[in-house]
Amino acid sequence: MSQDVERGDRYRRRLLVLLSSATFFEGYDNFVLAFVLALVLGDLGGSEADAGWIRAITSLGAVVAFGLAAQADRVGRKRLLLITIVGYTVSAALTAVSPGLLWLTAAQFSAQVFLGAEWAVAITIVVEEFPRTHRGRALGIVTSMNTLGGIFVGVLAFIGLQDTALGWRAFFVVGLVPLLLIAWGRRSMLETERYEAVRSDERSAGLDHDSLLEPWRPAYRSVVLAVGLVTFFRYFVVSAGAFWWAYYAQQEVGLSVSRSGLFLAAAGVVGALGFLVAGRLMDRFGRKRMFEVYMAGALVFGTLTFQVHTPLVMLPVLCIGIFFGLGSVAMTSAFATEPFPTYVRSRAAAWCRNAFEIPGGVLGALTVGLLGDHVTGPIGSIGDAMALVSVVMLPASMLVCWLFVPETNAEDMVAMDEAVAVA
Amino acid sequence: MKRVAIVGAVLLMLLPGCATRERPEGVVERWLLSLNQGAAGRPDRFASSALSEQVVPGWQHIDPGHLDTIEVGAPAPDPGVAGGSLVPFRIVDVDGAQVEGVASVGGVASGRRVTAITLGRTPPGLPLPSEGGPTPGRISATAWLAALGVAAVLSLLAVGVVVLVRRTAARAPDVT
Repeated sequence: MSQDVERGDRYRRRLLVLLSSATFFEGYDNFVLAFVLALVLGDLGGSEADAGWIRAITSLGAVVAFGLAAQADRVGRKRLLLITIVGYTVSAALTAVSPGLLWLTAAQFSAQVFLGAEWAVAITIVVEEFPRTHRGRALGIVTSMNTLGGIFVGVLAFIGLQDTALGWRAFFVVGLVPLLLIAWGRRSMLETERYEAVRSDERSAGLDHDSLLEPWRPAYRSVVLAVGLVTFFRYFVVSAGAFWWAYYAQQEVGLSVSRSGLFLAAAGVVGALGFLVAGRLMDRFGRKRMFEVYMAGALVFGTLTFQVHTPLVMLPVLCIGIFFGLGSVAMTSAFATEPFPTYVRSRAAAWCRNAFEIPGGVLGALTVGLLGDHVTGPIGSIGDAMALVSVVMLPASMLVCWLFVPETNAEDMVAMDEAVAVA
Repeated sequence: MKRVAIVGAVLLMLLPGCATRERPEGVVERWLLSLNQGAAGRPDRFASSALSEQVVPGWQHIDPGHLDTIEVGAPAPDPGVAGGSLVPFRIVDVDGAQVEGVASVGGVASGRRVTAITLGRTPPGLPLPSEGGPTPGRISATAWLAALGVAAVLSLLAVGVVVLVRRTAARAPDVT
């Protein structure tokens, strides 16, 4: 009974704050390196191609995070979330004291290991702790914090954090803040109800709670692959766009660092609305339908964003591009968790996120960097490379989703777990 | 064998896309970016110290990040130098002081270095992107069409893989 009281609306609101804080810093860290890239390359030395490699290597950390994220089915969601927050904070501190690109790459690789696992477990907790009618909205809120983290980078740049004595390093000192969450989260957070129920259900003892390959058994295989491909193609473009936009704006459009920071902050606010609107719309109209709408918007406005060279036109186009491009993660988060029963959900989410989505992000940023390198790239422009990559990758994401991803809008988690336990 | 041949043909078609080239506008941009780091940026890799001094006086002693804006335009052939190019540029420092000019970049034989600069407003024939001029890169209609073609092939490949996995999963026994 006390558990029921503790898990009421008030608890869920507090939980939402904790999870949102975790995804906030996931977004912060993903944006911050991109935003101070020119300063980092100047300070520590390097070219656009080097930057592409740094992005690729550090993003591989999120692939490695697969092993860590999958442990949530074994050690529990709560414990893993707290471990990942501590790990990220230490990595941010190490980044701030980087003496060279190699150190910085290693520290950011480590940060991505913890952030990659943190994201997967946060989404799993939302899906398991919120009732069906509010799941989409909660996913929208938690995933929107990712963009707000990015906005925060822009705000810090606009007020001149890079001009302080610490320079670009100050942005990574800010990454120490999540430590405060630990003190709070340790006391107030509970293990998810679904996880506890499944672990204590004797009928589920016969299920495989440990094997990393469990999501690939025939019953789940094609769904994991379809969702994985959808997230791979989508993130190939979105990650590259998020990583290269500031560089494109500063080096190819001629915006100053502070003005591009202002643009990013403004666009991020509109973009955050994209998550919240997506959360509500997908509860009402279904995940798949809204994903197609969002991807179509991302294709048009994402491509335009990297072809516009007039600052006044760029701002609204960027806002709409971010609204659709980043907002669509609310749907992909649902795709990666809702079709799977609790005993295997974290591992399935880890496969989709860490084995497909993240490699997509790695290859996307690297491909655009190599194609658009200003001296040696075959395209020679980051903006043009980004536009062409969008046209190539996003239609594939839309088609695979439409044909193969199941609609989970009305999915009942309890009934799904019951069916698996009985079988 | 047939599959290997098809993969090989596709790779051969993609190879030209991996070809690299030396872009004069990129050389000028790298030069200005390195100047923005002071002596640590080693701008001498791209131009002589005398030329660097003309653009950013006292560059050896400035703090990194001294330049707030660095803008480089599309190149035009330099009629005076075989294989050379003229590249318009503009920089604005953190105090708002602006410098515009045109950099002459030597041909491949000279190692693609900045060999001379002309300061002052960029000539009408070499407008900067912020003045309505062309950006260094522009996508041709052929490139757009090629991208659409690759998108179609990629989509079909993805669909094919999922269909294949679905069929094999349907035939496999589902045991934990």
